[in-house]
Amino acid sequence: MIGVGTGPGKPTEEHVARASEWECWIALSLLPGVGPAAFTQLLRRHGSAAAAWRAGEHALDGMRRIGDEAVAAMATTAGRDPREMARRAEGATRAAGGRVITWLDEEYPRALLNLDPRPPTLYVAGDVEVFEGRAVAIVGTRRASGYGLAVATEIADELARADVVVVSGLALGVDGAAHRAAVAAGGRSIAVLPSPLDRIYPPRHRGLAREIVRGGGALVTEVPTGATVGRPDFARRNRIIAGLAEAVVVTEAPDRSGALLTAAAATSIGRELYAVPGPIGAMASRGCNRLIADQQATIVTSTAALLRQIGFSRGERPPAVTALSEVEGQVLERLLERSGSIEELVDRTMHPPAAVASALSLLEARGLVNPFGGATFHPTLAAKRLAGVL
Amino acid sequence: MLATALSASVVGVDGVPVRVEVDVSFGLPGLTIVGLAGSAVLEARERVRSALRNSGFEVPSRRITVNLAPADLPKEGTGHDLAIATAILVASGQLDGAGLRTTALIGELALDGSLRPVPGALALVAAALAGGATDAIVPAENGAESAAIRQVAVRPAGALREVTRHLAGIGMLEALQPTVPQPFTSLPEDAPELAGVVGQRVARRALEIATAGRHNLAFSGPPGVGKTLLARAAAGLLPPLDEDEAAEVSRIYSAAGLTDRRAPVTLRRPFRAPHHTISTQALVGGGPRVRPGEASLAHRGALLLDETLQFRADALDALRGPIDVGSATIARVEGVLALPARFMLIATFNPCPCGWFGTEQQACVCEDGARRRYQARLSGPMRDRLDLLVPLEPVSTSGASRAPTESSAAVAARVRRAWCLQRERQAAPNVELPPAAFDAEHGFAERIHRLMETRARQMGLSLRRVHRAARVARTIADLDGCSEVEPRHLDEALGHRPKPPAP
Repeated sequence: MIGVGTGPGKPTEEHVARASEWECWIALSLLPGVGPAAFTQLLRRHGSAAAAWRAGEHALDGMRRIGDEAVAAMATTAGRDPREMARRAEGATRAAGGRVITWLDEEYPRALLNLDPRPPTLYVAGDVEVFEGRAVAIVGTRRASGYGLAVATEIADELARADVVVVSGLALGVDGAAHRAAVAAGGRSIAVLPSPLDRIYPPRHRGLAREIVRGGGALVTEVPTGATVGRPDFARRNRIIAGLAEAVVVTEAPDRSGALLTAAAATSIGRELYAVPGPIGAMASRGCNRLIADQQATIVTSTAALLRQIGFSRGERPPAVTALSEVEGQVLERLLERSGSIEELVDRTMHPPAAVASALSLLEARGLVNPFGGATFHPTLAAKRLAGVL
Repeated sequence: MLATALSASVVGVDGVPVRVEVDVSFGLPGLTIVGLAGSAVLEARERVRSALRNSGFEVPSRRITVNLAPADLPKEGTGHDLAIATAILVASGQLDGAGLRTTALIGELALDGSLRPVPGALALVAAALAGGATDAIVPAENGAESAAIRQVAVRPAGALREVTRHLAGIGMLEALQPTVPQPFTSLPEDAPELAGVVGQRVARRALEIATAGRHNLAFSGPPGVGKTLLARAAAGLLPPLDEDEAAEVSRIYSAAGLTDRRAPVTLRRPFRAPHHTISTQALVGGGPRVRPGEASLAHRGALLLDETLQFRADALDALRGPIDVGSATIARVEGVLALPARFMLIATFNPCPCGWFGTEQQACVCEDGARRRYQARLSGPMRDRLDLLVPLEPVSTSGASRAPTESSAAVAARVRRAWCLQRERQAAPNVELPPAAFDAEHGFAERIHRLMETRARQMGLSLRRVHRAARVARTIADLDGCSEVEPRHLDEALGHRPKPPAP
């Protein structure tokens, strides 16, 4: 038995033929400098990975925009055993809890087939079924404000409840919040990594990655397992995020945020792009605001509106919460109008600090206000549902 | 001939009585000091010799042996000079030794025989009292602080000659009136007036709660929001020390040589604000000759660590012990020494290196890693020991927050009332209440216990966190004038608890 994708059973003649093409395919994609673009050209020119491999150093002759590294690497194919390379890659991937998937395999995500160039090989951990579901990407800055996190959480939660797969990049900040909310809502999520499966980046999200897999989702990366990569490759990762989703929502992005690269990729491959507006002048939202101003992205005015626009129906309603006191109710109302610090709430409700602090604790205990540190308090999804804001 | 004089030595912040034994015998002329004498004590040989000669006495040209008992206790400093000189005079028959039995002799001798002040005089006289002294002769400059020990007749002297005349019964040295602790009415000089703080009502409330129960308090927020100003204002809110506490604090300051000569015993609670470059030793005490650190100097008062995260990690960690048990433990070759260090910790810090993380006003420009490393400087155990953490934001310019604010005196009066209520109910401030005291007698009804359990479950809190909140709630109830802790008190306390930073 060769690749996992071929399934168990006695290898037939046809299997062996395909398997060796499969092995050459993986070996070719492992060569340094042979990225998706070069790979695609090689395939077009030679008809198969095996043929390209056999052509060796002359395989790239006359091709445009090919790096020296790729040329040097192709010159070494004669001395290498593609079968051995593929097996090693597969072994390492399996050890990391994943599997190797190529275009040749039917599990290859269909959404990526119209990417050009598309990644020849993917390393996937988790359930490949998840690629079959409808998916929406939520991306944003790693340095998210409380607002950005709250919005990402809210949208991811709603999407997950509507059985939509939430795609993101497992980064800190918005990405993490989106994945976490999706998993917490019992939904499925796909994390596209900028790193190999055996070295999950960022390390702090290893636990989250496990939860995503446990929840029926998947981890996907283009980087070969065991590869000694220097910097995580964010640009290529972002293309896959956009590719896997039918729509991309940017929740919070300052100027020059990586999330804007994902947004650009989404536009270039024809995915719908949505952006969540931020307060004018807010550095953390300048990228989003510009996307909206330049009419590159559709404005997100509420989670419900977003779901309607993308074309999903709402999830179920949560149970009602027990009655709130007068102060608690007022504090929650003010928070639903606009998130704010205790100090601000004292101003806006005209209640003394003692009463407001006490009310906030009670709201937190009932899951109506987020429990994080920092000056600003945000209402939770439950609070919005309770108030019928959503 | 043999003579014994009474003196004392400082170990940590406590004095230990020392008996100075002098034997003058036939043999090769010389002066030997034994009994684990440090270098400053050994140099007493030269000072004593000159001082005796220049005061008109004779240094016997015989073999003089000085033993400082207990002989296994290391002795430092120059405070034994006077006792050694006087005992030599008695042992050599130049002075009648009858008065030495109950009179402690403390002071450093100048070469001309005059007396110089020594650090720790108050602790030394206290030790002399323990050693059986009824009288103490001390350098004139140490008089006022020494006289804080009422049970001893403290007689200040200017020179060796005055001391010998007194002991001979010729010219008596006057005993000082016991020093009365000085009350105060004004704010400490460097404490900001709360009336001058604009807005920040939540932080002011937290400051009031924290000082009212001596809880550990932290302010976080971007630069320029007034964290330090508010923290320093705590100095003006702390109620006066009672007399026992004042004696305890004065002894520590005396041992550290930091006594204020104008007000040797004050009722003002200490407020210490060491710079963040401070070493671990200077913070919690230690060194070859153990000196109390800032933690002990803040005993019964407050210790402000401004820009807490800039402090050395090991220095911060060393504070855990004092916060938990109220004393700084210093391990020595000779054994373990515990310096008193019960203080209210006040911490201020930025949420990240640039200071703007988590605020809406300005974007944070820090790398994630840098920010996390920065936040991690406040270790989990230290964060656990904070009772209240208030994130501050820049003051809005809206009219409401510019309303006139209360003066320090008005807040201090409420704080003082809360302290009185605590004192009537229990021995220690609320922060030191053991969980066993969360009973009806202390105002914790059954429903509060149930609420504590419920909140712990709802908010995912540790037992330690809930207990800390319960103590804060007790203080809030005291500020409220309630004998019973009510649910709103507990909820307010929980509202100010340190929360995990946003992911």
